[in-house]
Amino acid sequence: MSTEPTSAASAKDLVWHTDVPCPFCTLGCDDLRIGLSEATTAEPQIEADGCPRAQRGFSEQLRPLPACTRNGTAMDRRLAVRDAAERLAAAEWIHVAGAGVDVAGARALIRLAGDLGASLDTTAGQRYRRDSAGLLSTGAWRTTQGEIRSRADCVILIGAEPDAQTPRFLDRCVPPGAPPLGDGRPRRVIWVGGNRMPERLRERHPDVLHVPVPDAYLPAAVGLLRAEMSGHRYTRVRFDDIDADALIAALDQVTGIVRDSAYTALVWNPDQLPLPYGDLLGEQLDLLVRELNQHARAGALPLDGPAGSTLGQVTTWLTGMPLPVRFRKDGSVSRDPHHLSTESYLSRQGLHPERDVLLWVSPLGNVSPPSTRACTILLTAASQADATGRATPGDLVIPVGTPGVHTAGATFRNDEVVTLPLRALAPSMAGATPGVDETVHELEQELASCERS
Amino acid sequence: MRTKLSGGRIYDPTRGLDGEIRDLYFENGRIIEPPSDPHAVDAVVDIPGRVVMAGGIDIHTHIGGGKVNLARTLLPPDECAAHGPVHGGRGTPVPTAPDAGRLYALMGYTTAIEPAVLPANARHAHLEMADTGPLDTGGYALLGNDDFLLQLLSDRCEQALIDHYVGWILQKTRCLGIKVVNPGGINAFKYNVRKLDLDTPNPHYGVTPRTVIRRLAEAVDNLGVPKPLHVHTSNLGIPGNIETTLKTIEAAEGHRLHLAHVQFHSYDTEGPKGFSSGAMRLAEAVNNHPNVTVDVGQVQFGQTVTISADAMHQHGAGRHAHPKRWIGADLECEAGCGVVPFRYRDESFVNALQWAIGLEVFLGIADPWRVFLTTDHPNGGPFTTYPHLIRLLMDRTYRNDQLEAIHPGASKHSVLGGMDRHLGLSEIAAMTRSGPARLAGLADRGHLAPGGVADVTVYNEHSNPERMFEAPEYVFKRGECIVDNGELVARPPGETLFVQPDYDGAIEKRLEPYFREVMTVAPANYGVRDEDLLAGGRRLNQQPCRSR
Repeated sequence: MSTEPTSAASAKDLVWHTDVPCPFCTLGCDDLRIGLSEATTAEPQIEADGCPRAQRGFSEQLRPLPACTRNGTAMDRRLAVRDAAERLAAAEWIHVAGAGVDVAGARALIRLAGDLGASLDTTAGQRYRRDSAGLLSTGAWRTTQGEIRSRADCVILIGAEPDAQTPRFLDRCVPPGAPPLGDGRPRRVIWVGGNRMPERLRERHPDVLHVPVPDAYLPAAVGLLRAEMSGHRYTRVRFDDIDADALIAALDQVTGIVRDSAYTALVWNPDQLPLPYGDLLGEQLDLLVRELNQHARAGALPLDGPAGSTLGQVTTWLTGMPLPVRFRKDGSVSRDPHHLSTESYLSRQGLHPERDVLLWVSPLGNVSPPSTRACTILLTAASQADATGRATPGDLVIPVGTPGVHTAGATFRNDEVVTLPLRALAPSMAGATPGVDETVHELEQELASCERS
Repeated sequence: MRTKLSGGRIYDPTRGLDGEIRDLYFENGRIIEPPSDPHAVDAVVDIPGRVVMAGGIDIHTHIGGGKVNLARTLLPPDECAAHGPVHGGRGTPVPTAPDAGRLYALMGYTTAIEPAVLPANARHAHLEMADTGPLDTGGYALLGNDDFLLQLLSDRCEQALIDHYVGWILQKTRCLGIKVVNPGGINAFKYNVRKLDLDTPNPHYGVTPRTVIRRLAEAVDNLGVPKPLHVHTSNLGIPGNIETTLKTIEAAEGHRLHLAHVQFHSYDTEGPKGFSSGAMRLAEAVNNHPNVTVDVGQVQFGQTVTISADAMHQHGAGRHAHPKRWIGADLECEAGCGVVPFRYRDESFVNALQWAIGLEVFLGIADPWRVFLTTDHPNGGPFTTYPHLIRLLMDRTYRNDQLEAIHPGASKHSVLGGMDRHLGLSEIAAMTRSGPARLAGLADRGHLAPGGVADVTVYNEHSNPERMFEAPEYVFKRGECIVDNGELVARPPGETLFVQPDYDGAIEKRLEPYFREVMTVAPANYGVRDEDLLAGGRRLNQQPCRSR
């Protein structure tokens, strides 16, 4: 594929791939049509129902990989991998952070972290971790995209702009009209949050009920909603900045709709819940769903962050623990949600480029590497390698193939039930586009020779 | 390489061998006829007096898929330690995938089947099971709560359509058989129904569980799938559910039927607490219905976690969670799940009686080829408790001592104390090898006849069967020694076992609009690919269907 595709004049050369799974967000759409030219002169055509992430992702990554770089200067890949291995071999604390990896890439990173005695997390684990606080404290009742689409006649979005990270969520999971497995009643949609309700939501659902709640009052509002739905009433509630009576009246309306519905789905995005109590608010929402299920039917779908849940799933089945974890060279593994996270590593005092290495793995190119004093080795997608290689001195950048573009694989969707069968769309490039798993294998071979010498 | 195991006592119920001293030969991964020159071998392993069986086969164990991973998330090992001992002392009732493979191998098991594969989650299940090497693995695909099937049944479609749909599901999921859990009930729970009896219509589709069972059982037989329909009956865990179980047997109308973890479905309502044993009624029914097989789902005391697709009943069980956290889910218009940590206590009347009921089932069913040794891992307890369970079955004195040590209600409200039967090695071999292989249609294993796969376990006989079965001296997997004196010395990748029955592809035209309107995955992306099954050097092992 030419690095500078010319025009669509050769569109008739295009070979169309249908039902293409998209790796570029965790919604996991798999209905894309992508036209590729075998002759490598025509621009690829991407039909993704207007999704900007798919458009950008496939456009930017359907290309050969650029050269590896160190300090912005191009270098031979073999030397770059050797350089990376030497830094890893000499490091004291290595942290591996992964986003958008597929199952094979996850297995490879876990194996590598185990051999190196490294800690492992997603790239912004603390921020997006929707599971550890609530799940390990009380649990949850969850639902999936198909259940929301086809059975939920009431969908409540709590402070969630789902389209922000998963642009087609509303189209695919909350289409207007009656859900096909319901009793014929049209779907009701409720948006609880600040004044930034997406216009797109109102366009799709003109009778969306907007319950305006400033971020600071979201926990209180959810608490009141839990009380209402359990049949309690609060009187004489007073807030300083908002009209409590109006809020309670709006929540009454929500309660009425839920009681009148057959199946309610509660959707939120942990990243969009006001921090620092985002995960505690998530636990409240899980408790709300549990309470609803005493007498009615409901399910929750917390939307995932850009890192996706594949690394987490594979880590759990291989180690028995949820992320983040730390491996020791004796084979043991431990977990600590607070002190082993990527954020915690980056905030450590005294990170030193001679002692500490951050291995940042982003084969989708959708998560920017952080600024840190640790020596940074980036395994990243073509577009990000280009941008980063030129921009950040000190970094060692090794481009890797993107799963679902250059390499086939499997990746989890945000409801963690369906795994997408990603395809190698550009196999003609396959020899020159090693994925994360192949690159880790190269690293392991170099590490072995580092040890021998 | 040709290997000879010399001087062992062979227990192979398929050939009526009950401890006969015979040499065993294998080459290229298969058991072979003794060569004309007995010295024409490359390696000899002397095992005088050792007990030799085929590698163990677990036909019902939750070892792969979303529910299993949820259980690990709820009970990581450090958390588990704080909540009570895990029977078998392994630290957690839900080991990692690699540990599951290792622990099964150390116990002499070489094949294990995940019994509840949600079709939408099949790829995940197989990817996870790929990391359980050296085990060979397979799965049963869940049907009977999927909206597509229930709509077909509601439309009173012809049986052929059901057959083709079931065939399509087996092709897509690469499974060995079909399982139905709380038929129509998991679906009914999505419509806020909390209990669904065998003859109660599903609220949305108007189809009864009885109809679901009969039509699926017929489809499985029509397709020639060797594995009978695997049934987790309605009313899991409810006192009085023995009635449902007995009626479920009749609902199959003579088709082959396997009742899963039947201990949990053998409860009556006698006695001051309204909870008593229905085990002997169940045993009598199984004895009188040669088309029925069961696995027991024995309870073992200690901390564990219950993992089930039966979202309806797991939701009800959530209030008994120990520790007090649990997860449930409604899943992709196919089924649901519930994961509830639980601690079985010997001082609890109910738990003690459950323990006794399971043993009554084992000992009450006459034919060891039709009752299989399981704990429904980890629901009744971890699979690492199987050696302990075998001791309870083989050593009547020990069993009665245990019965006396637990809540007296177990002794008072069961007939276990008066059951003289104790099992011998041939019966154990039938329950853990030859019977499961025959049930699942695995013609190449579960026996030690020439042509079979050389999965062989060698035990040192011990007066304590628990010591004997927890640490085999050797385990061979396809002829390679993988366990030597209690150590895992090799870890070859396993195989995925599956069937691919013929079906009419026209069913896909019927599925297309359903996928477009209801599902969130394209049909082209719904199935498991070869590459999902071949990671790490694993192989595919397609098992034959019966001719129709």
